[in-house]
Amino acid sequence: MPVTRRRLLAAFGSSLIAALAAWWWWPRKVEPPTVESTPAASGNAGFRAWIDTLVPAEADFPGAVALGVAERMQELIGEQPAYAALTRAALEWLDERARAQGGNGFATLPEVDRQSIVSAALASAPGSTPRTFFQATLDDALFHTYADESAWVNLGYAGPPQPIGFPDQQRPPGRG
Amino acid sequence: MEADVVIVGAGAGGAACAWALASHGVRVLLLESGGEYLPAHDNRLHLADWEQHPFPDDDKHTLPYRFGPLQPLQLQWDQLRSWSHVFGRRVGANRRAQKYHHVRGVGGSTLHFSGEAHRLNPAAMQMHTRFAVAADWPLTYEQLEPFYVIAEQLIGVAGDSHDPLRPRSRDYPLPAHDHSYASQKIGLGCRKLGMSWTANPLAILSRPWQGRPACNYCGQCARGCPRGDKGTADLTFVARAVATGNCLLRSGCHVSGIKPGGDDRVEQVRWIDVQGAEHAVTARVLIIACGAVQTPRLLLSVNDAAAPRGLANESGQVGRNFMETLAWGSSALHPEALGSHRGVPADGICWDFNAPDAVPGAPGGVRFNVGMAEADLAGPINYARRVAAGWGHVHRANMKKSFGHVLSVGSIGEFLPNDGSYIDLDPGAPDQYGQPVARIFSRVDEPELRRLDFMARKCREILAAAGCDRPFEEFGTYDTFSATHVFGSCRMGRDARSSVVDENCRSHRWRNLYIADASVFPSSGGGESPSLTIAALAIRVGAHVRDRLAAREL
Ligand SMILES: Cc1cc2nc3c(=O)[nH]c(=O)nc-3n(C[C@H](O)[C@H](O)[C@H](O)COP(=O)(O)OP(=O)(O)OC[C@H]3O[C@@H](n4cnc5c(N)ncnc54)[C@H](O)[C@@H]3O)c2cc1C
Ligand code: SF4
Repeated sequence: MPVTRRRLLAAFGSSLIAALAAWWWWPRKVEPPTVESTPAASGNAGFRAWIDTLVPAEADFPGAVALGVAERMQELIGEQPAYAALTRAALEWLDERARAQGGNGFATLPEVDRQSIVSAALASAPGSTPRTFFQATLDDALFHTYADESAWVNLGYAGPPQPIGFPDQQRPPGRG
Repeated sequence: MEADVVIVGAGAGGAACAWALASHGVRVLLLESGGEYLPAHDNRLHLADWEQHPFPDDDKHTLPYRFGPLQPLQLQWDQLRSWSHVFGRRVGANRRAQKYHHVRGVGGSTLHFSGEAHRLNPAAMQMHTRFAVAADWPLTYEQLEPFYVIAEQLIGVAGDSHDPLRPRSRDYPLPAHDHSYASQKIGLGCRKLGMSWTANPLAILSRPWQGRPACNYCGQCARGCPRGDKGTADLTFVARAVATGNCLLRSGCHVSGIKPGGDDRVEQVRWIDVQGAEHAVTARVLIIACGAVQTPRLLLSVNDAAAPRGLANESGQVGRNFMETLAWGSSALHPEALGSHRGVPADGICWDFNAPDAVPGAPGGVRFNVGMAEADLAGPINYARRVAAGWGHVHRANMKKSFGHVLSVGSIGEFLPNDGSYIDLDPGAPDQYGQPVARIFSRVDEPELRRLDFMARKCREILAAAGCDRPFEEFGTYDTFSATHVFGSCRMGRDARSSVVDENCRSHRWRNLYIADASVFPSSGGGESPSLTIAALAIRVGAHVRDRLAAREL
């Protein structure tokens, strides 16, 4: 079953140029993993640590976890059986990798070790559980993180679009 | 209210036609399947999560349709595949049926549109005579011109009145919008290539106009305009028609059937309201304006001994000659922070290749335009997902480096009708009203692919000349059906054997039946956006019906 972030977004329609944007909202097809799996022991903590590694905080940026993105995503993932199954399998994979690196679950690792596991997930075969999980969760985490104004600091974005609009549009931008 | 004329559909065509009739004392019943657009409820552009909310796209705001199988893709045209540096290619072996973009609501698809308000290039109206493709328009540009003027005045079009391609008898009512800073950069690129770059005529107010405010350049027309400065059909034509006291608008009323009568006249229109109650009215004149997918569906679904192949389908042409949107868009990063999320969606346009003989190797013109907002590359979420590469701290650094740097160039071109592109009735499950659902077949043929190839190359050249890196994302209709402009499925023409309606958009057989929407287009034009032409044609239909009613011929 295809995983859709939300039906609404899967069917997103946009613009004049044959709705260019709509193309990118096409639902990802996430194949359910073949392995029968149970939730990883580290559960929520592992998922939060994963999201925190994908979209970490910085001095001028709260990062995904502080914005409640991990919880929001877990809620939505819970509504989609294939995505939930993928998540369970991926969290197990993360914990196994962590144990192989001498840790006691992904969530307990220092950031640099978590980063090396993320790199390994990204480097795994297309269509594999870790790679698919990486692609799906990064995209979703960004989708939710940048819907919060605190993530816009130092980007040069003076949004949202209304009620002020961008009346300075014909001049070089100031820093928003 | 007793109505002289029943109009089905309150989009670009139906609304303009209703105004043309009601403003001259004709009593109109305007039946619209959808509801009214309520910015306070339907629009979130003032909220931080605005980007997560596209134009409402649920069953309430759209009508059902399905797709027939689409064509296999060929290696030969591989350079025309859509791709992204983040997502790669997403289409498999066959062309993907993504979406027919439209809106069910008072104002129709103009609620969602980008506001381009184009007149057709007169040279694009004689494609059959000149190139033996498509069909000629049975009326001339000169015959349509006075109706363009009326439409432009009522909508409040902002543009540069100097247009050598499209002679005009009256200036645009409003001055053109200034080019955004990013659009100026694309213009520089065009000029380097010896191409022109001009103000795109827009149904977007550059000054306050007749009680509506000027645009504030938020760029999000496709998500619906909360200010009311975009010239949607509800705010322009419908509001004025209703204000005359001669037009009764019934929203939430879905027309479910038409009954043919004797003497080659349609007799009755049936509809179902939001509560599910059925109604019927006897129509002295019936004007159908449901758009190029739903109008043929409604006609074909008429099942009557007097119209055994569907209503007005004596020629077998209802649903045939369907034309979709041939489009390309390339996006790339510019080294300078341009604040390119600012500005109306498409303030600049290049018409240099719009004439039907301007593209080498394929008849039919094309145009090029600014495309960031239309590519939905105008906010932090889309930059985060589609522009900035990497993850973790690298991604954040890339966000800071790239935000506001994207330039996108879009292009739309002529789509010639072919025998693999048509609308019919889907044999599957009926819609909620028990009616058959429309099915879309569309095939992109060799001339379209050659034109698309030209469009793609030019988009890339313009970006490079503007100083951009190589594109990071491209989209084209070779591998994806995702049409916003659809036309042609009830072609107008002089010959009753090869067309559905005549030059006044009246059925060749049914004397009180008219069509006033995009389905009557005999050809698509060389990339012009259609809504202004639809409105002009519909106002002309209104004038014709008015005259016939006055002469007691209807
Ligand atoms: C995202 C987007 C961007 C666009 N940008 C531009 C642009 O910049 N410039 C431009 O010129 N064009 C643009 N277009 C195209 C333009 O909006 C359409 O071409 C135009 O609105 C079509 O007019 P129409 O009257 O044929 O149909 P519509 O405007 O679609 O109106 C048809 C109406 O009929 C109603 N209807 C259908 N069936 C029934 C029924 N059985 N009973 C009652 N009512 C019914 C529908 O609900 C709808 O309201 C855009 C379109 C989209 C979707
Ligand atoms: S750019 Fe102008 S017309 Fe478009 S939605 Fe914003 S304010 Fe309205």
